[in-house]
Amino acid sequence: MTLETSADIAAYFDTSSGFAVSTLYIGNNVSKNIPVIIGDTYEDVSVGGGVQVEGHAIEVLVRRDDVSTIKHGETLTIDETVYKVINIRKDSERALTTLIISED
Amino acid sequence: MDSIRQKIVDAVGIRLATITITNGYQTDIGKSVFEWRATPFSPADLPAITYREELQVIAEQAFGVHSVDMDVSIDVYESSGAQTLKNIRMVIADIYKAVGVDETWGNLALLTIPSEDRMDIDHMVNIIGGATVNLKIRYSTRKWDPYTGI
Repeated sequence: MTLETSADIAAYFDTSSGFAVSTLYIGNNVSKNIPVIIGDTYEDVSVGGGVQVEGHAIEVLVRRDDVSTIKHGETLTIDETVYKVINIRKDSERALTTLIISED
Repeated sequence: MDSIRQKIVDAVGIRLATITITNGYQTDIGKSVFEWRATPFSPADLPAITYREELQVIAEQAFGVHSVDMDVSIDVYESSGAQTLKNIRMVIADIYKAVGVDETWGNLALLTIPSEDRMDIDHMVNIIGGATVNLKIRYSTRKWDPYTGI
């Protein structure tokens, strides 16, 4: 079952009236602006000691066709910060891809 | 009056605070030392170390002496991008070097025994790494008198 229509997704990713912002994507032989929907989730990080560190994970939702060849290590630039792609989750149901990105 | 345990823990904190590049170490981790910290760190707070004494094993020796093995854990926290792991290893080395300056903590303990160290890492929007250095500090007091060292 399709969760959203293509018209719904087009509306979500409209950078003027939807949820998306325009982001520079640089990959292998690719450099273009694509719309992405950004999610920032707080998570406590435990690295073995007795105290946790305030961490957060940034996930960006993109249209699969915009990043069809994306690989780990390619970059997105958001608000002048360059992030590397460290995780790629393809959603075959919705023709969308979720990327986990990192400053490091 | 402080117990011998309190005096040793105080000495550990003072010693860790001497870990600075100016004092001949590889890192300035001594500028951010916390005893038994319970509140989370922000990545902007790092690097930092915390120290805590958790378990004491006490044995009664002959002639009215209690022999105490106190486990001390020193936790390292780093978030330095690609340098995180290297920096953690440098801090671990600095901790051992600092302990070796005087493993009796000013004649309060008999000796200090290195137990183990362990590293860990998590990669979210930033790389956050950590390590724990475990030490065993052995000291003795008069039987039922934790204020008087022997």
